[in-house]
Amino acid sequence: MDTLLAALELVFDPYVGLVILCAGAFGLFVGAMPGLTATMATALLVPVTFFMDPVPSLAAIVTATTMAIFAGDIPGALLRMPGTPASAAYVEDSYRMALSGKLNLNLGSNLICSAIGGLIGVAFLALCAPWLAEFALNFTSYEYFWLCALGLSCAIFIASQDPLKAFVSLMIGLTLACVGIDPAAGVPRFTFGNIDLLAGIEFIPAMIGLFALSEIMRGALRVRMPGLEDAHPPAVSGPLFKGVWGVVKRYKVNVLRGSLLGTVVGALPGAGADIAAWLSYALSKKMSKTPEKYGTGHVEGLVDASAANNASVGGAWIPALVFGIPGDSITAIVIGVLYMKGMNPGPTVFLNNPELIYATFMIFAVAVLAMIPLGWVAVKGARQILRAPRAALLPCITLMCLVGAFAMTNSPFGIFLMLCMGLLGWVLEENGFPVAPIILGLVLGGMFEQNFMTSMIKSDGDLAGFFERPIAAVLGVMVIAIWCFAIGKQLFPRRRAASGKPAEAR
Amino acid sequence: MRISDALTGLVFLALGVAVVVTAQGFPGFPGQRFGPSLFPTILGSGLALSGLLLGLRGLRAGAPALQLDADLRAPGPWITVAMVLAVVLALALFGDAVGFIPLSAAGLLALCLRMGLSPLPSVGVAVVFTALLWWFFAGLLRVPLPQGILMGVL
Repeated sequence: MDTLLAALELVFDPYVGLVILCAGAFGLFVGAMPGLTATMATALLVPVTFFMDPVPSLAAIVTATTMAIFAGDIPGALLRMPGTPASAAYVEDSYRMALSGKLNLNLGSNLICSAIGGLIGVAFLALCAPWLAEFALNFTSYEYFWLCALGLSCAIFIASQDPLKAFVSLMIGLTLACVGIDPAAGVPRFTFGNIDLLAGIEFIPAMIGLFALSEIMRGALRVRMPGLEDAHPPAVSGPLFKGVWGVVKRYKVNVLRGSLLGTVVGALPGAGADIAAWLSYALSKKMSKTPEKYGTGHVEGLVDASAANNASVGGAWIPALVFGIPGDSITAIVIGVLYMKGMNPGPTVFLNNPELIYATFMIFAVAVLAMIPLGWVAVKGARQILRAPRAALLPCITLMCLVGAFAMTNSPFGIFLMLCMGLLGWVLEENGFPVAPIILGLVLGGMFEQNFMTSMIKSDGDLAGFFERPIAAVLGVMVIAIWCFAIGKQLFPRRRAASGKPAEAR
Repeated sequence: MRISDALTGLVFLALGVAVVVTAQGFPGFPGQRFGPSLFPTILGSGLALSGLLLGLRGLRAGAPALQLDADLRAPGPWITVAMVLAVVLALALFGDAVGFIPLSAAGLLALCLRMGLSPLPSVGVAVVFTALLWWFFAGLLRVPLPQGILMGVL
């Protein structure tokens, strides 16, 4: 009881309140700007929080992250540029909803579902931290391999229109992830003697290039053309939360499912908000009564995925706090901050500084609740950006992306990377190749290969070894089932009534 | 701007083969059967296979090699895109020498004007936004944006 009171005292301090407000605004701004991500927000906050006490600095990071993950939905809906990778899974639905005049419903649902997801994530963090971390500890390379494979397979088959092109994108992404030093043997691969490439393809500049720069190029190509459909959604004024409660009530199972899935995925080391959103979207589409509506502007996938990605933010802290293993890239940075503050993450922190742990949980809850009013302000404000002429908006976003890419590597290499990936993304998207699997491949490639190689070496090439452990076997069977089902659908399509497309060769 | 599937399929087939061939050149993992070349080989094969399937699909569809929307056949839009890329490149290449502030202001001005904004708002945007970026990133977050010719002045 004493520790609880001590924690309350630490949190409800006016300085912490001010920090939460500023960090929240910062997180919303960074998340809402395509080209700046939640990870970047955290990374850029570290030097600022260097001079603060542990609780305010954690408060700053937690709040900024929570806001940024929600705010990433805003440019996705308005400009079809996801502000953060976590919003990429449902950017298509988001944008279409905005175009058909349902912008308020879209963002309002996003906000409320994100808040609910965030709260459920925190609740799990506080209640199940020990149990969940122990379960994840049992995972060996086999389970991680199949989990990665599952996520990637979902991205190809369930969450995209043209599986073959999505597969190509994924292969490109995974190959790009191989650039750099090999995880098993430490051998430089595909570096062509370039020192900068030894570190591999940096994920953030690549993402900025693929999602933001390519979108800018697309916009620049058509900026002087009159009457473009892809310009602005119709301005819809009025209350943000109208109709949202109805959506939440109608899809309450989705919200719960998304939050639970998000928490679990977030808790698994290496899998973060973006994977949570993808898996949740895919699962939602699979279990929905109207899967054909996904991708056309349907709110159901949004409900699941936005709850999931905010829930995963809380979930990612579970292994981070309990074991010092990052749940995602943001928590990797947080662990560094905790070490700097002398709060070494691990079981000992629960013994030595329990009030700080409780304070962290409370900050999380406060941050999620603060997200609602701050999010309301952000949505109302963000639409003003849209009234700005594209001729002013596009150059500004270009510069922001540039600085963002530079900031992550502190060298022009980041900018070159962004440029190349931007060109690649632009050419690919113009030709119907989805760009998101490239990012997925880049993010998961290292972990995927590491677990694959470890598993192969452990079982000495015996593929049956991948199914020996029960959890691995279950995951493995799921992955194979997805592949068989999807390939079967391509080879033996059901008779199509209207289109005269011939069935593929049997 | 659509390139036919046949062509892109061919490109990816070639790329996949290139990846596999390059991967064969990686040294092995001493004492282990599986080394750094395994994963890239699998990926390259996957890329090549899917490129082949895509190419075949494209050949069957029979679309022309390159299709451009009517309004994209003029050079104007492409010059705009080239300018965006040029600004990015300029900052990457000459950032250290000239500095972030002059290049950013010049770049913003050029792009705004090119994209159709009137001269006065363009100057306003260029100046205000550069100042904002500098204050936020270099001032607040201490990102080492290059000072260039303004070294010692700031």
